[in-house]
Amino acid sequence: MIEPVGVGVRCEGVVHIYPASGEGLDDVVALRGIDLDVDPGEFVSLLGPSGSGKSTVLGLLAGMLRPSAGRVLIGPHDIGRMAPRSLARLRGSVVALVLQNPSRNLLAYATVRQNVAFAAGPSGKSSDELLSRLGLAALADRVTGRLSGGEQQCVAIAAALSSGAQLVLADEPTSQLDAVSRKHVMELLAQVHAEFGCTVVLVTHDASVAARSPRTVTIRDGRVGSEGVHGREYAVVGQDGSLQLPPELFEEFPPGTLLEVRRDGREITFVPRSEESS
Amino acid sequence: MLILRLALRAIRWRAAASAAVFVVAVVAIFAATVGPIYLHAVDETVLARHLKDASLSQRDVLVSRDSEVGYRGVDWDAQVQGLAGQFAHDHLFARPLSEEQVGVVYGGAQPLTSEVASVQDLCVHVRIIRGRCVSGNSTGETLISANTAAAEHLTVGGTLATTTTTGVAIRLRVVGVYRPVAPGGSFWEPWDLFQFGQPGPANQAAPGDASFVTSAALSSRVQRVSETLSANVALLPEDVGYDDIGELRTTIAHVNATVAHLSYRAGTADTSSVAAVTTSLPTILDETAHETSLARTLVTVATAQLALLAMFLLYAVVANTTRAQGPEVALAKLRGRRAGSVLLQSLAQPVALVLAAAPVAALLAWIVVRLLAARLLGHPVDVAFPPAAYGVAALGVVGGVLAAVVAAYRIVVTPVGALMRLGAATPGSPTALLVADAAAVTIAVAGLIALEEGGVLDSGNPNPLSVLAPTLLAVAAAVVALRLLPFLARQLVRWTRDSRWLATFLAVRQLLRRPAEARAMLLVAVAVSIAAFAVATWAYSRHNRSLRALNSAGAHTVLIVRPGAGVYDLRTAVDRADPGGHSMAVAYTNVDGLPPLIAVDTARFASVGAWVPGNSSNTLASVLHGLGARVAPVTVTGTRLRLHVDLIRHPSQPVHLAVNFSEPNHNQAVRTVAPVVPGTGSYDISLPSACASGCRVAALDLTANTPAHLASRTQVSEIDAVIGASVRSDGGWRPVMSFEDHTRWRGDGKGQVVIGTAGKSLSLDVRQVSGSLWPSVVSAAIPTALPAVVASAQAGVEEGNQIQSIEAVGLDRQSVFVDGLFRAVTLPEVGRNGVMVDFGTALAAMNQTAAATTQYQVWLSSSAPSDMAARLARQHVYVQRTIHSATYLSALDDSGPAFADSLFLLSALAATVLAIGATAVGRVLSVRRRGYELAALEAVGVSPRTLRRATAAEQGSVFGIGLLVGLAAGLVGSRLALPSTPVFVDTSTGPPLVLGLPWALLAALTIGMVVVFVVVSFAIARVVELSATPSQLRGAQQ
Repeated sequence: MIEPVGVGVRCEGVVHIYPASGEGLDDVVALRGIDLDVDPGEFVSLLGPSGSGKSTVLGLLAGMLRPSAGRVLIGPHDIGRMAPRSLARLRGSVVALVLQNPSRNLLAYATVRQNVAFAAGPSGKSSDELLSRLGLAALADRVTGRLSGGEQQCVAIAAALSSGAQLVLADEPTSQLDAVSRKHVMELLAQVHAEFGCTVVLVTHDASVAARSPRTVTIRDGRVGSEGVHGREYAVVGQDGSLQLPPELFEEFPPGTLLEVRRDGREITFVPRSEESS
Repeated sequence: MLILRLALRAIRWRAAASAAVFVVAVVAIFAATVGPIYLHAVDETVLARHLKDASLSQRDVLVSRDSEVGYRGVDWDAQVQGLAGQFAHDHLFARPLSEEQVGVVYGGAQPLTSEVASVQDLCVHVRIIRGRCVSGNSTGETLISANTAAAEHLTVGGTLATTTTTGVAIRLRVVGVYRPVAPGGSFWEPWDLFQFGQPGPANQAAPGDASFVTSAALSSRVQRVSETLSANVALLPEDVGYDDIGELRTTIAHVNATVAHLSYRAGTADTSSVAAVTTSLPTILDETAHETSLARTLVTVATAQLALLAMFLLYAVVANTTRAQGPEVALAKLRGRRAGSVLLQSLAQPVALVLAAAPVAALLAWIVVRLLAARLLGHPVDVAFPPAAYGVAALGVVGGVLAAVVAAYRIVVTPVGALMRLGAATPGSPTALLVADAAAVTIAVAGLIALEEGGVLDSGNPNPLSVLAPTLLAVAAAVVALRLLPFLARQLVRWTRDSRWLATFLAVRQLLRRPAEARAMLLVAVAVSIAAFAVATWAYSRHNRSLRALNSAGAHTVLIVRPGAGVYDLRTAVDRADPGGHSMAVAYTNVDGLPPLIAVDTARFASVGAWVPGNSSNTLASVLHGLGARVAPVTVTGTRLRLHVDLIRHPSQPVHLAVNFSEPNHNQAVRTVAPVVPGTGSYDISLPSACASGCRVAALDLTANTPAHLASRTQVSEIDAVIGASVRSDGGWRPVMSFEDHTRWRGDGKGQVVIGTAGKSLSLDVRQVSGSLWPSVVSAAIPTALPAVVASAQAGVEEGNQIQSIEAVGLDRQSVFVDGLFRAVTLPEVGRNGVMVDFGTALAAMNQTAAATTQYQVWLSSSAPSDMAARLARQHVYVQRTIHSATYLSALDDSGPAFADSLFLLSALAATVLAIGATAVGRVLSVRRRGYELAALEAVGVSPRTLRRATAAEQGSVFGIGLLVGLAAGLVGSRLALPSTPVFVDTSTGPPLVLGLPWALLAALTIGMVVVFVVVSFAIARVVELSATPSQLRGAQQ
């Protein structure tokens, strides 16, 4: 019996810059100050277009990257201060990563059972029990390289759980899957979240996928743009007081537009200068 | 265990890649292992041949001692048996067989000198034809041979009366008559007991066969007769392996040490007083060791280079395979597996493949050598797996494991983020690569310096740096080419960027983008250099063995001939038999203590005789010209000679004129005109009958008898005369023109002679030296000393290395002096000890008929008529024996160094396969890796044909540059390495090494490589087409 337990995640003013990789190229500022709190056991989707920085956030949470500035906390662990060996231990016990490409989550030549055992490590949980709980027992003896993409992702999720991870990070797990497989994988993630109680952070560019999670955080241009909770969209006030407009308003009010902020009780209104004049 | 199970699954899953690694590992370890196995087979073959060629007396051990009459201090028989018994425990020797014998003379009807002998196991090795064998401890019985029975009129029951050399009578009762079984066989060979019918010394009784008695019969007489006690220990050559040489030497040394100890105890330094241990086994083993050491150096060179290439390739393949596991390693790190587990995971597959390959490769090497050994070595031989092969195979495994460890380490220490970003391609550090390249160039330069200064050997052992220098040179040259390639590629990119040469542009762009792929050039360069080196070495070796064989024989074919009656100048007969000039008359003398002399027909030598470039500092043409006769002889043909003498000045005594003639058979004849009256006169003398067909005037002697009472006084008398001559032939008189030419004459050097011309006559002024000694006027055609070429070793033994006056033996077996005008390293047939002169000059120097010991030969070139023997027979020259240079070549080809050369050919073949295989595999792998890129290019409109041409141009340039670099490096390496290789340094008997480039072979090798490469490229072009498909676009994204 696997004990359900999750771990919280906290990002405080996280900045990450990728150094230039060639002549004539500039450094890339992927994150410009991310503030994010994920409660233990919460299921959060990070939504954003390509290049918004969401995968960078995931990389930081997985300990594969170190923040250029700010702090990343996985439970009590400050990722930026941890030694590589400690990070490796963290990945082996607390954090599990599910990659976008299903085949890269698994050893293609090994069976499902062997992949789960490989991920579990020496202290590993029972592969058969886990597979059975996740409804994957029928695939136990099949070679993962011959499974479909959806099946592979499901096995990847099982492998991620086998080490007893408290935080499951999924990087666009459904982007390469068809609709049916996508649904299946999302259902499994929900099951994992519900049954095992682990914290799930899912990165996606697909709003429909993000809608399946209770909470959605939108990342735009390296910042948290908005959050969606129980179907309602909220703009997030940044540490510096900045606020990102929803995308549809961004088109109407491009950068440089002057907006007067009016407050009436708990309502806040933004009036463009031209309207004010009239 | 999970890691290991996963590794095995991975190997099966990636069957093609795993097979590639496995095959390369097998090839690499095979290449390294085949050398020691082959060398061991060579060692065994060389040893077996030496043992087989040696006579029984040379390879067996004979311990012997003569007993001392009346001496009671030592049991000599026990001593001999004890020494021989030390071999009894050695499985390489047969049981010692003892023998005692006493020299006797049979006193019967026919005195015969023989032995009364006791031989162990006698009765098994004789066939009793009458009576029985001697047995037990009988002291009065004897078994005689059938020859003895017939000669002495003896039969069973009769008495054999013998007397020892010291006069002791021994009478024995005949109990049987025998014939020996296999008298020339191994049992009887040590003792030579059957000599009936053989010629013996003069004034002694004829030799006979031994009569046999029991050991007791001799023991009972040991105080009265001197016996020779011996024990023969036969070597069992079929049981002797090369690894037993040490044991053999130890056993013999131990016996000799025992003898020395016994002689010390006996108070004498003369070990023969204890016993004589006679064997040539140590010499046989020394010769074997020398020959195998020559082979060992060559095999080491061949194997080391091929092993280096194979390891290089193995390293590349294993490292690539290990790096290809990058995503799996990244996954393991993502899953938090510990470093040790990650390392094990990355090593498990390649190490498992290498470990699996090792026994397969070793077995394959053994099988290949076993299959080829008989053919390459020309003898059946047991092919074993020597300890050295185990060691080398282990080194191969270590090399492969090391490659995996180095590649795995880089992956393991790479952060997981970088691993995941870069996928399977983990870039090498440019600095590390530069350091590695610089190290390669430095080591190559060091190797070349070591080779140039020290040669291949270092204190008798192969110097590793020198041995690998040619290969390292190829590596260094390829490294330099690789470093220069980007500059060239950039220029080509600029030229082709907007041109219609799209394929070229794509190719050079790829070389520029992925310089790591161009590193395959290193492999190609090394492989080609090995192939070129191997082909050059094989060609050099074979060519020089041919030259040695030719030099040993003298010419392509040598006929030992006997000139028949009337053949006094073999050259004439040869000229008539073969007007085409493909044969040559030769005479050869060899007398102990004096250098061998060989007289050749210098007019034909150039096209027939063996002479290699570099044999002399003078050209062959100048040598032959210098040896030739300068002055024609004075010949007369007729029945009478009329001498017209004008005696101008003379002493008071009567003057005599003697004409010395040399007949065609070199018999000397003298005709004297005495007295010659003062003033003018004509004198007729009859010529020797042989002069009817022509003879030579050897000398004119103008003398005057000195009265006895004046003989002891020193006085100078002078004879001044003018002499002309006419000869009668065909009914008329003709002047002898030679008497009109003073240059045809000279003094004999024993006094003052002035020779001039007076009209049509010879003007002579001779002065008596002392007593009755008058100098002669000699035909200038008779040299004072024969102009000669002196061989190097002969010159070395002459005092002060002066070759101007060397005593030799002429064709008449008389002493003759040769004047060394030229030096040569070696001379045909005689080798490095001897002199070579002109045939005609040697004939002219003869003072009497040819000696029976002079050997006459006719040398034939390869173009000589095939019926030369018949042609010569028609000229009354009869062939007695034929020697072919091919026989010498066959013996040289049956030697250790020649066996090693065969390995070079295999090495060349293997290197060629590796070079082409590496390039082809590289192309396939490159195409597979770039499947997405190629598919994208095709999707945007680049034709498949252009893509094929681009990849072909890319790989072709890698192969082409590698080919050129490798060829150059291989040839330079061979020119540097070969002269210092022992087999070529050891030219104590042969001609100087000829180093020319085997252009034809190299061209064939190059063309062959290019053709095979093109064919293979076409064959895998389909892979390119199949790879560049739209489906690759999706697959590449994965």
